Amino acid sequence: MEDLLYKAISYGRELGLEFIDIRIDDYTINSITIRDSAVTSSSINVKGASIRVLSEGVIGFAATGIVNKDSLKRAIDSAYRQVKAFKGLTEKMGVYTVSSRHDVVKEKPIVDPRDVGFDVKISDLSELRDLISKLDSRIKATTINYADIAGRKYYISSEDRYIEQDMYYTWLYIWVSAREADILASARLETGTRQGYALFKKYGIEDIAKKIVGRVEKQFRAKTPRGGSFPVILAPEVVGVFTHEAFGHLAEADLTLSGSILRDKVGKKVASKLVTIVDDPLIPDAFGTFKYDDEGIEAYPVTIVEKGILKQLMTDRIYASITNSKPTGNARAQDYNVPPLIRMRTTYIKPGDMSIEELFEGIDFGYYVVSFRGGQANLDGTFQVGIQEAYEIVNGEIGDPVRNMSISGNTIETLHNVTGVAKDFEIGYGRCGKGQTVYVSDGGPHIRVEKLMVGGRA
Amino acid sequence: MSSEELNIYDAGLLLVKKAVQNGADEAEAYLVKSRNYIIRANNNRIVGTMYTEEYGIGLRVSIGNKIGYASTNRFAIKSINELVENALSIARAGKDDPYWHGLPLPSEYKVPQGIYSIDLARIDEETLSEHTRVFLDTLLEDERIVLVYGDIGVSINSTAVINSNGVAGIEHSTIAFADVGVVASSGSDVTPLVYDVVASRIQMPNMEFFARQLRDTAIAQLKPIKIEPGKLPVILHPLAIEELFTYTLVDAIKGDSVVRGRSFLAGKEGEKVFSEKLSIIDDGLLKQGWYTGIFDDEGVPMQKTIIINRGVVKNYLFDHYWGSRYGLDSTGNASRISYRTTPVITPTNLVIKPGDIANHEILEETKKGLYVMGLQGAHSSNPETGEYSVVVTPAWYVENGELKPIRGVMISGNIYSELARLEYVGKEVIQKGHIIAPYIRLEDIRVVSK
Repeated sequence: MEDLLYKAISYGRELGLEFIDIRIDDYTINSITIRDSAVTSSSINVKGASIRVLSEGVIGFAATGIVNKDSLKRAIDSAYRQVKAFKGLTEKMGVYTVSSRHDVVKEKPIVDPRDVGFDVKISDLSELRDLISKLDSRIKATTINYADIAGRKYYISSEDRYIEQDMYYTWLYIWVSAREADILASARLETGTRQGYALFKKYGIEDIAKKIVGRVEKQFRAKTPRGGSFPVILAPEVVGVFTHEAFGHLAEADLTLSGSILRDKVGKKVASKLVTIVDDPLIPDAFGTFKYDDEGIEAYPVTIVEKGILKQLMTDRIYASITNSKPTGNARAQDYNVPPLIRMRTTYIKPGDMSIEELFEGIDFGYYVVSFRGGQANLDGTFQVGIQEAYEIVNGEIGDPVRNMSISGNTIETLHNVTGVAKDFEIGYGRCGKGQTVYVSDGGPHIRVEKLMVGGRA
Repeated sequence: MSSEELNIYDAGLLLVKKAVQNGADEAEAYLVKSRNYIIRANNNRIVGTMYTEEYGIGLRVSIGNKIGYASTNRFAIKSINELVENALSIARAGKDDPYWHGLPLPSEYKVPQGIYSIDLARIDEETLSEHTRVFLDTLLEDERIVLVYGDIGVSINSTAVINSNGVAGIEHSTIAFADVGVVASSGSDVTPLVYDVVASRIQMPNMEFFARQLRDTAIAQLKPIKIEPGKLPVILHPLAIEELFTYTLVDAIKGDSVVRGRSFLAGKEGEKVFSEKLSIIDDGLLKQGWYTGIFDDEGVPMQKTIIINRGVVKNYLFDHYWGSRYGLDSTGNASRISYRTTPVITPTNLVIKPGDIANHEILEETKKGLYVMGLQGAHSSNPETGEYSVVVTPAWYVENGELKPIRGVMISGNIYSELARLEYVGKEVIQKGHIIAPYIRLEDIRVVSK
């Protein structure tokens, strides 16, 4: 492989390209879907190459599912044709270059998922499904999606960077629907590990089943929320999705420059001084952890906000070149078919020094939001997070469960309204879509927001 | 054309034969070859141009009632042998599915119009560059506009489905598209993202027209006003309908949701559930529809299926598996996200039948209300109950037909009960994603604002 890639780089050099890099994916995805009694299993071999070139201020990209000398040459030629056709159309692009480096990064999962048969995985997941339906007879439908990814990625560039990196992701997503008379309820749960086939060692099948069934059960006796602005306590799962969706995306340099509300705000106050936000590639066993990103750049933690001040944006080689800064190791691609984009890794609010109980003190009426259904944000800083598990707070105590609730507001206003950050810390597992899907983690401690808009059912 | 594209058909025949020889009771090969051009812009510049070629095979086999699925992007003999072995070993490791009814049987195909264009299939970098230039020039003529992101592209696809029951189809198709988000800014006033998508099966969409529309919409979001919370009628543009329906009604009309009791429409065939103003048809044969084809991703002929007729539930969408479980035939709605995934039920072109009032007349007849072109958070809606709670953006306050931009306003309600009370359905339909719809107006919607 190494030899083949070096030859392709030389070919690019002969064409006079300013910069060229090649990524190779070589991995297997084994996935299982259980919908009630129906089991669908699938094994996918993914192998392919992507080529990126810079010449005359144009970045061309080509991908091929065939990895040999001829196909790599054809891909380079195609990228070169793009350069010729598009040069001069808009402002010139550049790529931040770094020095030579050779590295092979090996991972040792607890159990390599490739060594575990489909029969074992199906039997574990069927047990999970059976437990879920046994726990509550109102459950009418259970969908379990499971996937494990195992293999290796290669990176080479005209800077004489050559990197091989093992990758392991195991992911589990459950959706449960229940019905009692005419009331329908549903809940989701998503989790994962980087340790291979070790999910059920990490959490226990029974705990997972209880957690999701608990979320459904509460909805049957839940009220609909009052609409309006209230003090809200966010649990780590919601803090995570808020930090990722409502804030993190705005600090991705491509979106910041496109006019996100954080544009021109570096060095300025964007949050309460209690708030420090980090995007971290070093958290053990998190979905956002890796040594090199998909542009072969060493990944390091980015302190986006420190004590309320916007410090740094997340970049890739392209936006590092545009903003005259260093790439932060945030370039990630879904697979060889697409070029990397600036993506988050593990994004969280740093824990503070309050106890969770202290956060609740003095709230006459408010909401405690524990688990989300989905979240989304706009560049102007408006966000919406749909909530699947929430409770009223009455006189500082957790009260009745609430259903079909969502929280919304302006991200910066909301961060300024943070009046308490607890010392607990938890991260969760999920996927993020920005045209491409990548696995990410996010989380934080419990936090208190003095005023947040709550929308509910009519 | 010819020799290269016949490959996937022949490879499919061989693969199915091999799978059966090696012990499969049934086998189905799904093969694709696709070529894609994409021009990607960010921040008013072209950040990259892309050309990708994708080849892939997905193989589904059954042994008794056990199913196995495997896929690869390698067409070499060794990879094909591995693929057969993988699929068979997964089937052997699987569990019996008592509901398995086998693979579809062959039936005759109708060939729809306007799914392939030789010009699109032969497009080159220079032509794409010219369309991109026209788009950028028009859009950025107004200096208040920032192109946040945009993809302009063309896909050229060949798909074959072959199974051991004699299903054997090959289809060539093209589509050109643009998918763009912009903001407008003036001083410290920055609008939320204004997004739109356009596509055509037979030519590059008119980029000048598309750019001008986006530009005007974004500019019309500047200088927002504040509004009081309350209950108001809400007019949804097809873009907003697409977002809301995708996460609610579309899920409810899928046969698997019905069979599994997840859909509130289960058991309501023949019942009047919605307003008689609402009729919905899934039309896989629609001329030039974005999702029109000869056959679906299981090789079942595409067809036209009436889902809702004047408020009455007529049919659900089925693939072969869930159709068989329900005791009906597939409606030709099996779809795969890629060759790597097994088929799932997906609408083709879901057409909301136009009413008799012009779209602009709905706006004009609205004394006080909201006009909504997009939603934020629609994916957090509850498909089982129809409950939603979302931010409307971009959106305008309508006062005696006049539009004034608003920001950060939320609406919430239950789309199923609102569709039961539907009064206004517009006349002119536009395709956005799987939905083809006119403007519709929902009544008495709870509006929350700061």
